[in-house]
Parts: sequence; C-alpha cells; structure tokens
Amino acid sequence: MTSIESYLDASCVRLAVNPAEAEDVREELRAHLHELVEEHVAEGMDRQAAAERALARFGDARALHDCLNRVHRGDVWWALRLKGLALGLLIGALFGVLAPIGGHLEFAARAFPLPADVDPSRAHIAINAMLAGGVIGLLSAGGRGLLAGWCVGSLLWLTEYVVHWIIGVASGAADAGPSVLSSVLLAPLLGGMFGAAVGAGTAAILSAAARVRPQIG
Amino acid sequence: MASIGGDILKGNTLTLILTLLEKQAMYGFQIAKEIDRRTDGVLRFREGLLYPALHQLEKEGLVESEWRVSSQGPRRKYYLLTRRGRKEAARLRERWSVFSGAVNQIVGKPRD
Repeated sequence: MTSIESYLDASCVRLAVNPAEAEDVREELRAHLHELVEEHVAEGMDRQAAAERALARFGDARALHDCLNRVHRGDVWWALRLKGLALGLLIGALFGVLAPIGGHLEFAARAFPLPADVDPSRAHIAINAMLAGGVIGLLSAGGRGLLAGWCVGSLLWLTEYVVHWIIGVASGAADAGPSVLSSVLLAPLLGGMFGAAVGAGTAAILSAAARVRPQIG
Repeated sequence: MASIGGDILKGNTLTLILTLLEKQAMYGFQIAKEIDRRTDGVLRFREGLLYPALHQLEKEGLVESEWRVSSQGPRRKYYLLTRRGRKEAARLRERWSVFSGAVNQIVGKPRD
C-alpha cells in the first residue's frame, strides 16, 4: 500500500486546513482507495495491480490536491477579510492623519474633548477615515464592496456633519461647521476608500479561487 | 454503451450528488458505486474529485458530514443533506427536467 500512501502524500500535502482536518481528509480518501482495492482483489487481481487500478480510478494526485486546496482555501476567507480590514484601517488612518483635509469638526471637539496636544480636525478625520476604511476593507472582498463602502463612509460623514451643524446652531456658531464637500466627498474618498481598497483588493484576489465549485468528471 | 464524462458530467455534478443524498446518507465510495450502478457504468469520472465537490457542498451548508464506525472496515464519513440541501436538490432536479425536456424536443425527435 506504499503507492496509496505516496498518492495521499501528494494529494494532501500542505492543504489549507488545520492538521486535524487534513488528517480527516486523508483518512477519507484512504478509506475510499482501500475499498476500491478490496473490490478489485475480490475480482481476482493481486494487491499491487488492484492498488494501481484504484489510483487510476481516483485520478491525478496533483489535480486532486489543487482541487482540494481551492475548496479549503475558502476557510481562510474571513481571515483574509480581517487582514483587509486591518490594512484598510491602517492606511485609512495614515491618510486621515496626514492629509489636512477640511479643517473642520471643531464642534465635535467641543462635544467630545480631546487631549490638548491633538489637533481636533485631524483627529476626527483620522477616526472617520478609519471607519470608512474599515467598512470598505470588510466589504470589498465582494464585487460591490467598494460602492457599499463608499456609501457607508459617506453616510458616516453626512451624519457627523448634520450632528455638528445642529450642535453649532445650538451654540450659536453654525458657520464654523465642516463643509459639505470635505465631509461627504473628499475625506471618505481619499482617507477611506483608497486606503482600504488596497487591503481589501488583496483579500479579494487571494480568495477568488476559493469560490470555484469543483466538479467531477 | 460508451461511457460519458467530461463537460456534460461536470455541469451536473451537484444534481447527481444531491439527488443521491436525498434518499439516504452516503459516503464517498458509496456515492461513486451508486452512480456507476444506476447508470450501468455510463457516467465515468475520476472518483477522487468527488471529495472536493462534497467538501464544497459542506462549506455551502448543503450537506453535513459525520464519521461512522463500520464493522467491515475503516470508519466512514457519511454525508447527509441539510434542509437547504433538500431545497437545492429539488431546484436542480426541476432545472434538469426542464433542460432535458427542451433538449429532447430537438435531439430526441426525428428530423422533419
């Protein structure tokens, strides 16, 4: 049965599953092959010929390995999404902190006081960019993720703008609120969308192969 | 009769597996044998490729699996249809019925 074990080595090597699952897959394939061998032996073949016939019926080990890996790579789908999310957060935050967009949100700083050495406008842009970047990073593993991420990011900004405007009116300084352009368009577009797309795009490319349904034949 | 594999079989993998599992839980070798028996050996495929297909169905929640101890040999991994799997099997069977009926309207009739 050495040839069967060699076949299993080739078809199950480095599967994208944990060791226990890999052993399960191997055991399942081995059981099938052994039943085939027994069947051929019962038909009158010697064990070696029966094993060779069983392996021939099973198909190429490399093709089986590739097929199994395509299926099980999907197990890391969410891990990839989380990586996209983390990268999106990081890049979005960098953009948010570094890009002097808007110069707004002073009212939010009044409502939610920041440490004295933190520029409130940049800090809030950074937070918003992180939020938008994270949303996009999480969603853009799918085809419509970028659009959905942009919409959610923009909605966050719009909500924030309205809240600030209301706070501004209440405090008698409405004209100091953020501009619509920077709130709804520029900041999410630059801070969130671009940064997160990088991370999410990576996840989407790496996981695309896992969506193919294997076929017999 | 000559055996059939390739693209025709590939396109109907899910229909075959899910339909077989509608009646009873089965393990991989049993599924392969049943396809062979019920088609008189006409449908030929590389049996190893059953497993990626079964694993994918399991990941999609259409089947679930459980190991059962066998008195005649090694333990076996049985696959059972889930409720979603039953719905999908019915849908695929309906689709196959419509498709095969339509093809028969052309291929199965003598030429005018």
